[in-house]
Order: sequence, then C-alpha cells, then structure tokens
Amino acid sequence: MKLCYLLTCLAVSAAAQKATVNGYVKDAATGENLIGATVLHRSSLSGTTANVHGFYSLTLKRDSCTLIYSYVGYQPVQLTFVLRRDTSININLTSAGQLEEVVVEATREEIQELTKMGSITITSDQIKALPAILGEVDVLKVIQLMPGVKSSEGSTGLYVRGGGPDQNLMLLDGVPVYNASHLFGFFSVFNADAINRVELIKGGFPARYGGRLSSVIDINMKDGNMKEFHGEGSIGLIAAKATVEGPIVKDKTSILLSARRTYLDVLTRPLMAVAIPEDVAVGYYFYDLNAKINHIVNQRNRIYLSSYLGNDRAYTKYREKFNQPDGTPRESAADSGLDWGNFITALRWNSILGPRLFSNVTATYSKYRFDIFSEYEEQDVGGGDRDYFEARYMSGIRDWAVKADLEFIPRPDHYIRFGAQTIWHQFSPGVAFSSSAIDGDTTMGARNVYATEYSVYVEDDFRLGRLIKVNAGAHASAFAVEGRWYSSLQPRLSARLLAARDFSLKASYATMTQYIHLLTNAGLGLPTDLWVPSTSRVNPQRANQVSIGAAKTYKSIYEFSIEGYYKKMSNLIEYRDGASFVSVTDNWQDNVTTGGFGEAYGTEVLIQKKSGKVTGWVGYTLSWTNRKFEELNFGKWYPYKYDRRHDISVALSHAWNDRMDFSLAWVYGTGNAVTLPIASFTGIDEPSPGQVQLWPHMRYYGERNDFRMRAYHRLDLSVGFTKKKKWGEREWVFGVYNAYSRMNPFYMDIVRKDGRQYFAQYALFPIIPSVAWNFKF
Amino acid sequence: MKGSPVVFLLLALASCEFVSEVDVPEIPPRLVVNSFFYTDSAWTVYLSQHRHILQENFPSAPQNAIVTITAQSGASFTLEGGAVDEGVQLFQHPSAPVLSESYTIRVSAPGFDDAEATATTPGSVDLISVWLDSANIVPHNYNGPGSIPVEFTFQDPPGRGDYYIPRFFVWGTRAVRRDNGQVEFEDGWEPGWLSKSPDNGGFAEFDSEHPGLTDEGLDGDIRTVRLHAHKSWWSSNEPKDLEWKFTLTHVKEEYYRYVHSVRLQRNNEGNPLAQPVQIFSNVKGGLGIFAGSATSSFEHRN
Repeated sequence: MKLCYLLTCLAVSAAAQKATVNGYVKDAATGENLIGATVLHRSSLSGTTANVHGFYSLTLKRDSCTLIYSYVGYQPVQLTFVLRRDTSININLTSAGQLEEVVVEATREEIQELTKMGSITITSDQIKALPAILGEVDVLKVIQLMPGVKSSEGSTGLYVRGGGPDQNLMLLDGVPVYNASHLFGFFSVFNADAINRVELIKGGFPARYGGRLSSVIDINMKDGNMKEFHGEGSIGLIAAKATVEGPIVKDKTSILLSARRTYLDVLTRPLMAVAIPEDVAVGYYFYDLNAKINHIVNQRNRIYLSSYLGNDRAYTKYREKFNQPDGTPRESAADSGLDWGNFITALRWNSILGPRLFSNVTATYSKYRFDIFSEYEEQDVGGGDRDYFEARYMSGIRDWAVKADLEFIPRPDHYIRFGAQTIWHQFSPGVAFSSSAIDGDTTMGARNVYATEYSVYVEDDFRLGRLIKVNAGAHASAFAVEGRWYSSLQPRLSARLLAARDFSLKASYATMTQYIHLLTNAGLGLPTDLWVPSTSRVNPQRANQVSIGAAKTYKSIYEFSIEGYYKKMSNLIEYRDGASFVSVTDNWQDNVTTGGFGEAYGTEVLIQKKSGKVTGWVGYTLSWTNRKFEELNFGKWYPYKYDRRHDISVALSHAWNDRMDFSLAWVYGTGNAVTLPIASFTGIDEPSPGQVQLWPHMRYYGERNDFRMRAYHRLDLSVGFTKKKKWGEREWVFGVYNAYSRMNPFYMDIVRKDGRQYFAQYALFPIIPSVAWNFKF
Repeated sequence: MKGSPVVFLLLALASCEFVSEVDVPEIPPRLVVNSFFYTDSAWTVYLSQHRHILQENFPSAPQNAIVTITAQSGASFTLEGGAVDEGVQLFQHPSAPVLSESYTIRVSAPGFDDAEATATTPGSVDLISVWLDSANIVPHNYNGPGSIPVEFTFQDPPGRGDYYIPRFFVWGTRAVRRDNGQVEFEDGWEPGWLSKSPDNGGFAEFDSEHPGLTDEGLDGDIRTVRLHAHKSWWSSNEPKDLEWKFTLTHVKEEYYRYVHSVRLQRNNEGNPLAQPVQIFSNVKGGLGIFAGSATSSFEHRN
C-alpha cells in the first residue's frame, strides 16, 4: 500500500515538472492539415509527428524550449518560448513553391525510424506525378506499382501479398468503399483532385485496423481551403473533372466540391447514329461527386462532413414504331443495362479532450448496389392496349457505423491509441424481380441478411531503450448474424531495432479476421461481384502474417527497404466447379465451397528516391501463393490465380524545370495461372440403371491453374507542359498507355477459324495515346 | 433475364480484343477406361484414348489392348475386344460381378502407360417402402410442370461413403426413333425427374448435377426421404390409375463423384464465365471410371 502511495506521489511529482504543447500543423496558404509533419524539441531531440488529423502533442520539461516544425516541401518554422503550463500552438507552414528562394531540408521521420512494416504513404503530388491513363491519374493504379501488390489488365482489383480482392479494406475518410471500380475496373472511384494522402498497409497492421486479411488502403480527402477559393480541373479524352475549394467563413469553415464525368456516351452518339440507322442507343458513362465541409467549432473542436456519390451506367435503348396486321400503329421501347454505384458519407468530430488526449468520433454510412435491368413496353400510338415486361436483378450492401478513436500521448516517445466501433450491415445478396402484363409481379432470390460487427482495440507505440521501438496491441472483434456469434482476438506486434543512425531491422506479427466475403467473377471488375456475410455455413476468414525486414536511408534522399513475409489463411471461400456469377439468383451459399486454406510467402524490395529532379521508385517482388479446398483440384494444393513469381515496377518522374516534366511507369509480372483444357476424352453417364450413355467431348483440365499466361509488361509515358497564366496555371499532358503496344493476356479461349482450332490469348488494350488539358487557379 | 446486359457488357469489352495464338503442351498418351458394372449384367468396358484438346477427329482405339479383371477372391479373366465406334472399343466378358466383391481392372496397350483401377460392387440397398402422396399432387400449370410427392424408406448400411440415386418412371406410350430414322410409338417405362422437397429428410443437395443423395448424417440408419416426381403434363386425375416404378441405385463415392463432375461439365458447356470442372477419375495411369452399382426397385402396376 505504501509502495503504491509512493509511486503515485512520484508520478504526480514528475508530471508536475512537465507541460504539454499541442495543436495543429497546417499549410499556411490553404489551412489544410499537414499529416505527418514533424515537431522536434531541439535540445532533447525528442519529437512527434502530426496524426492524420494534423494534431500533435509533445510533453516536455517546464523550461525554455525551442521547437522546430517541419514538413517535406515546406519552410521549417523554429519557435522559442518558455514552457510554463500546458500550451496550444497551431503552426502554419509555408510551401517551398511559394517562396522566392529557399533550401528546404526538412527533417521527417525516416523509414528506418518507423515501427510500421509493409506500409507505404503516397501523397497527392506523387500520384499526379505519374503517367495518366487516358488523361486520368488513378490512385489504385499507383498503388499497383508498389511491391507486394498485384493487379490484372483492365481491373482495379488488388491482390496484396497473395490475398484476394475482397481482403483489402479501402477507406475513404474512414468509410469503407465496397466497389472501387469504374469503367469495368479500368479506373477507380477515387478522384485524385480530391485526395490529400493515401496510406497502403500490407502487413504489420496496427491494432486500430481490422476486418480484412490482406491490406488497408486508407485514403484521406482534402479538407478544403480555409483561406481563399481555388479550383483545378482537367478535360481529357474521355472525362472531365473540376474541383473547387474555399472558405465559407475564412479560417472557420471551408468547403470542397469535386466532380468528374465521362463523356464516351456523348462523343460516340453521332457515330452510333451513322453506324446503326435504327433508333438504337448504346452507351456508357460514370460520374463521381465528392463534397466535404470542414468547420472549426473552437480551438478544441472540429467537425467534418464528407460525402461521395458515384455511379456507372451501361445501357442500350431501342425504340420502334410499326403497324399491326390490322393497320393499328404501335410503338415499342426496350431498355436494358447495368447500373452500379457507391454512396458514402461520414460525419466526424475531432476534439482535443486534454493536452495529451485527442479524440475522433465518426458516424458513417456506406452503400453499394448494382442493378441489372431489362424493360420492354409496347402500346398503341397515342396510348391504349399496353403490354409490358420488366426484369431486374439487384444486389448490394449497406453499412451504418459509429466509431470512436482516442489518442493519448503521455510522452514524446509514447503513443497510445484505443477505440471501439460498431457496424450494422445489411447484405442484399441478390433479388430478382419481374413484372409483366400477363403474370403480374414476381420477386424471388436471396432475402436480406442483417449482421452486426463490433470491435475494440488498444495500441501502444513505445520505446524500449534508445534503439528499440515497439508497436504492440490487440484488436478484438465479434460478428452477430442469424443467431450465430463469431468472435476473435487478434494480437498485433511490430518492432524495430535501430542498428545504425540510418539503418534498422524490423519484425512484425499480425492476426486478422474478416467477417464478410466477396464472391467475385474472374477479376473482370464487373459490378456483379457479390458481398456476402459469414453465416452458419460460411465461417469468418482468418490470417496470420509474420514479416521481417530491414530499412535504410542514404543521404536522406534514397530509401531502401526489404521485407520477407509468410501469411497463412483459413476459412477462405471460392466458387465451386461449374459455378459462375451468372447463376447468382440461386442461394449464393450453394455456389461456393468453404473451409479453404491459403498460404503466401515472398520477399519485397523497394528503392525510392524521394527528392531531387528525378524522383520515383523501383520495386521487386518474389512471391508464391497457393490455395487448398477439399472440393477443388481433388483436395490438392494449387497455385492461386494471381500467384506471380516475379513482379517488377519502375515509376520515375523528372521535372526539368517549372514548365516541363516527364514521367514513366514500367511493370513486369509473371503470367497469371489459369486452368486450361489440355485434352478431351470420352466419358460415360448412366441416365437409367444399366443404360450407359457415352459423351465423346469431355474436357480434361489437368491440375487447377497449372498453365501460365504470357508475362505481363507495359510501359506508360507522359510529358506535361505547364504555363503560368494571369488567372492561374494550365498544363497540357500528353500520355501514352502501353507505349510499345504489348498484347498483354486478358483471357484465353479455343477459337475455330479457317478450318482449324487454336488457343487464342485475348488482349484488351494496345497502345493508347491521350491528351489532357489541366487548369488550376 | 440477366443475360442480355451481361452479354452486352462482354461485347463492350470484347470490342477492343486483340488475339494472339498460344501453344498448349501435349501430354503423354493415356488410356481412357470406362466401365459401370452391375450384378445382373455381363462385364462391359469402353476403351479409348484421350486426344489433344485442339484435335477434332477421334483418334483410333488403342491397338492390341489387353483388358483383364481380377476379383479380390483371386479369379481373373480377360475381356474380349469387339466393335469400335468413334475411337471407342467395346470389351466384354459373359460373367457378371458379384455383390460386395472388390475387382481390379488392368489395361495395357502398346504405346500407353498401363491403367489400373479397383472398385467394389456395392451391396443392394434394402428399399423398405415407397408410396405416392396422391393427395398432394400439383397439376401442370403456368408456373411449371406438375409434380407428385414420392416418399421412400430405406436402410443405409453401416459406414460412410454410400450414395443413393433415386429414379422414377411412369408406364406409358412414348415415341422412339429407330435406327432407320423412323419414329414409332411403344409402351414402356418413361423416366420422370425428381427434385428436392423442402422436407426431404435433411439431404442438402439433389438436382440435375448432383445425381444422388449422400449418406451424410446416416450411419446404418433407416431413413425416409420425400421427393417430388415431375412430368410436364401431369394432371390431377392421373394418380388413381398411374402405373409407376421407383428405383434406388446404391453406388460408392467414385461413381458419385465421377457422374457429378461429368454432368456439371456438360451443363456448363459453352459458358465461358463458369469455373472449369475437373472430371474425377479413379483410373491410375489413365482417365475414366471403373465403378459398380446395385439397384433395388419397386413397381406399382394395375
């Protein structure tokens, strides 16, 4: 008892000798939070970084102190003052681009100092520096250039460290996005103009993240300019976009609005009219709208309201007028197509609860739905004798969630995070509806499934001595569905040993549990992918991942990292033999095989050049990933479709001067594993006892995914010409996708032509030149 | 219903296709051995060889093949080769398999690896009762073909790995196309089709691709199963003078897995979006199936 009392007195006494400086670090011109900005105490060399909300907290001795605030590309600010009590200081840093002549050598937390493993942060500027595809830069395409991340042609589906496309948690301002594809997967839903920062985590997951096995892609939208109105936009070959941001009340409330729409449908309409004389329209378009309001309530409280609305539509329309045999004029209209989209919104409340305690409370709503429709209507001209038929197939998922995240920073080298979340899911795994003049209305298919997901976490980032830094935590989650209760405790641990000033060794372990699954077609990026919950027949997926690695910085310009990982997965699901997404009207659980195992292992190397005229990176991955299901491949292990032995990516950009820049991206990957029929043979069946029937054309496939498509490689180039104008800045960007027109394989099939059969490998995109006009004011 | 938009989408994607040819590796020549055997019928084996997937014509049947069958009891005999049709040669022997006996087939032919398979003739299943629930007949209407509930009770032998294929026949006049192409009418057993009933006794899967009921959850139990027998023109006044036959074929796992995979592959023929179906085989060194069955039947004649 006495010992407790003594320890308490000591702690209080120690605390009494210290005080805390906290606040936000922001861009002086825009008021935008500078995520990851460094705050360094000059004499002790202890420091901290601003969190994703721009907030920092540093507890120091009550004494005279000098703090250095810095951020890459910004002029550092040095502040000397006497720290007598807890103090709030908001700092505005000025961008180097706005200064006449500066040498910006900002300190930042370098890669060898970070505890995190398998984590890569990409800024909006880095995204925009890389080649645009059809005039559009795309966040997910940039992520696909990172080691450990694989993709396929014409798809935004990501396969991270041997995982499936459903095992990635894509968060836009903290809200999950369930389908990130536009244009059948060629573009993602994330408009680069509205994005501030992207973080990709492939392993060593901090405890605050959960719900997916393989990766977290955390995307932060811009908050909106607090100082003055600005805008930017572009007009490209297939799409135009515009973003406007500015203060509603200066330094108090800002708004950001961003919109993008394709106009393939508008451009091709005259061509269609010539090519098809009948009254037929075939088209496709997509649009995105992003909006965000950021309001500073007072020094301690901020509120954000952000929303995203996106929709894709592919359609055919056919109109006809004709006469019936008795001469009555009639008219008909037939419409069919696909419609899919996301709507997400988040209301966030940031609050400084104390000098060392920061909270972020979020309420979110996320909805994804797709709708396949076919409608036909026929009636006498002028009305009367109406006949109609309508058929629809709808599927989707809706989430309502509340989340509280708290950050407690007792010391500069000690960061504690904890929080809780509840998500209410509504799954609609497929409902078919038909209506006709004869049969009336009929609805069939899977009914809605309701589930609730709970999670709590605690995460502690601390030092053990001078050299070792540890991030330890646990994520506990539970899932209630149809009377079943699943729960899971997921320990997480990352540690780094600073072996030299610029070199560290790292290791991490993470257990992840995933309660929802995606039934996906062959990676086409079609919207028919079906989100389904764990049920009494389908257990939650689990993964354990260990990784070790090393990180080094050379002259603060080059970063080098190497990581090896091993991931074991269980309770995976997969379509059964013969199943396809076309048969989704059946109970989805009948189409899948469950209880699958997976393993993935490999090594990733990443060399980055972060500053200078030439910036970029080179990544290499050597990896294996396999699957095993009792019902598939006769129960034997087989390579996963995206098992890719070698994967190389090179992304470089070169800024010659203020007026001209050049960028390239080159990727190489071992061909995808596919299952091909290699022989045919005569089989038998017995429709009645003793009555044998021969089937002479049965296909023999050999082992599952035993054949490799050709290697995938592609070079994208772009060059930009920028010119300052009175009203702002304009840029012409000329780009080439697939510069040497490599016929990269998309799928394979047997073709019969000119009297012979052969295997054909289909490619989607040859060389595609593009031009875009960008503006900024 | 969903077909047209999906096809439209695929056409949209296919509109920018570029095709190149690829080579598919050859596999060594393999014998294809197919034989279903029953206790009330002579041994029959269909022998052929596989062909490369791009080869359109049927290769000749394996030359000078020797097909022998050896019983577990030690008896062994060689089957006699017969007619060849579309690359398939028929091998027969007048003897008939014995219930619950295990047999090994060995096939050798010059230029091929030897093929071998072992299977057991299942014991006949004890079909305890069968009855038609005439009171609950559903006549043919706009919503689909007519159906009548059929309920049967049988005894599952101890142990796992037993499968049961129920079939239902109605005596009637049917059209038969003769070898000369002429269509004639004759009386005979005409197959109806069976489907799952919601109260079918707990069997999860039974449809056109799943040929039978598994013994999952059974182990030597007596089980009653309720299914629906369908015929497209069934009307409500038929059952009172209906002449029908119900058969229950007892097979082992290799038979079930093979027939299931064959039907699954056939049902998905031409669907490029369907997952590929690997055909099961229990023939080591070759392809095909060697499996036995035993059928019990129940007939109701006026």
